[in-house]
Amino acid sequence: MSQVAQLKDYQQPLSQALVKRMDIKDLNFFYGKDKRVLFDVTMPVYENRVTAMIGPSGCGKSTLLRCLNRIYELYPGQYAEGEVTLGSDIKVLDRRVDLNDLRAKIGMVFQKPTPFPMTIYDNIAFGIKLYERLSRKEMEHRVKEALEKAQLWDEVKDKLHTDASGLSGGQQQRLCIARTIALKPDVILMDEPTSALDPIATQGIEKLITELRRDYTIVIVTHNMQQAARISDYTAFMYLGELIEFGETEQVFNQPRNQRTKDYVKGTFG
Amino acid sequence: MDFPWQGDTLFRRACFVSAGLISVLMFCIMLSLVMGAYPALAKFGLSFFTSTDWNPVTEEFGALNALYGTIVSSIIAVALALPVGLGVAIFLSELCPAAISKPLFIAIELLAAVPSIIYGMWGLFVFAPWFSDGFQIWASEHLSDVPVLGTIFTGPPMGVGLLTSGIILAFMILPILTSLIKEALSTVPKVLREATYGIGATQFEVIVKVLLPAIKGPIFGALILALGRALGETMAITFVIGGAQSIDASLFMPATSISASIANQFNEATGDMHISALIGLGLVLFMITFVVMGTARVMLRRKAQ
Repeated sequence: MSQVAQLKDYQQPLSQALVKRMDIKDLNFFYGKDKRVLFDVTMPVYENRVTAMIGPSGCGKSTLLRCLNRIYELYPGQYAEGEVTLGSDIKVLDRRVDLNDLRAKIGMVFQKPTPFPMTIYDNIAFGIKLYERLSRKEMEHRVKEALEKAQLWDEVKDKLHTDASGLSGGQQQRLCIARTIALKPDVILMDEPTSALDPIATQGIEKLITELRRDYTIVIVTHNMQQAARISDYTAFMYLGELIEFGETEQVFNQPRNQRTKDYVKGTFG
Repeated sequence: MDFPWQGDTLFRRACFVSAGLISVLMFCIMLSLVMGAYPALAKFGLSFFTSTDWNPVTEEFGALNALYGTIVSSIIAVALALPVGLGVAIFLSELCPAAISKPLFIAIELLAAVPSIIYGMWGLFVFAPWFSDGFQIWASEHLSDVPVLGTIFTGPPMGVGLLTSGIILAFMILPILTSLIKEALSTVPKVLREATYGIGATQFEVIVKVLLPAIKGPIFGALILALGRALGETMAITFVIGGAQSIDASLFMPATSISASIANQFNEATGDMHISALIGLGLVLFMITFVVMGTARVMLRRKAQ
């Protein structure tokens, strides 16, 4: 298990002090009245760190992620109870919170790449235009900046005005990350962002994530434990809707406190 | 049961014959249209397609009147039905709760089951008088000085005419347009919706800027299919188009369409040339529909790549 440390070698140490970016308290989630899938989950999300959520299928890790930007509200019958705080004062689950504003602050990247049916340039500009009025020049600058941060600029700079569906899967996923970054969010949620990608593209995204945590706070759901070990600073292990263990990734993988965590990371179940 | 493969062979041959039958049928129809139209085409040549003469007494025949009526009424129909169809489809699939969506959709499907002669009757006896009192008189009084509109919306308020035909056709193609667009909307991956809401887009932005562009190919296909249906529609049009062999800039004026001309005149056509000219009209309609469908296929394939 010492290879965990080895895998993380390419990450540069972070200097920022540990600050809570989000705080999740006693979070419960329901699909309709009878089906409860999250049970009193309490955990922090630290600024400029990558927090990984792991656990077997159906353990609630994706559901937890979907609470953080309230995307579940698209579906009638689903609701959350508890407290989720962003920064010091934004109560995420509060009815009065402006959802569009919240989702600009908390971006999301999905399992499958989801390019919008428009050009590469417009994919980025579309989100920015929802919030800001920029001159052409400023917009071009912002688009370039976002694509550079997502390490996609060099590959697409000559075809910015072609349809985004022409990109490869890995490129499309980086485009989706660029689109999220372009809004300058506080937190980026990633729901198994590499599960639809080949190993090379996966590596690219993983490297990008470790770079991005310099500027952003990232929460990533993954079914791939090696991935969690490689790229995350903190790991949350969930099982049957409960948070079993939360801690620094090295600790969770090397000295798990809970027996079930131990069994899971060792691969004896799950 | 002695030769188990025989069942298979028989089955395969039966399928082959069925498939072949379609091609043969198609060929036969084409052939009889061409043969029937030949005397008229031979006599009038290309002017059959460009002439507005239609005189059974002097046996001068040209298809342009009917062609114009067919195309203009169909375009009016598609232009009117598209925005409404889009609105209904979006409402059904994106905005309203499932409890309302299902019965409403069934109602729309039922609209498609109404026989076209009912649309024709309703159009002539109910819609046309209402349209005449409610719109045509007003338009003639108020729009006559407006350029373009003044030309299009003037004329005797008879209720029947090109515009009425277009409107009735729009009612008729609305169901197919709506259900095809709704179908297309349901094929948009859930996650694309989530992604768009996920960057904070409003419902309007999600629908107009992402969902609709995502299905523009299928929408185009639906449009062409609807156009194909409108072009060939006979019964309802025959009731409300007015049956006048003329081309007029005003949409209030009675006109004719290919199908209406054929339906109105075939029984009374006495001269061989008259019959041949009507079959010629049929051939023109057949070719237009053929070209429209072909174009749709080519363009849809290009869009899909």
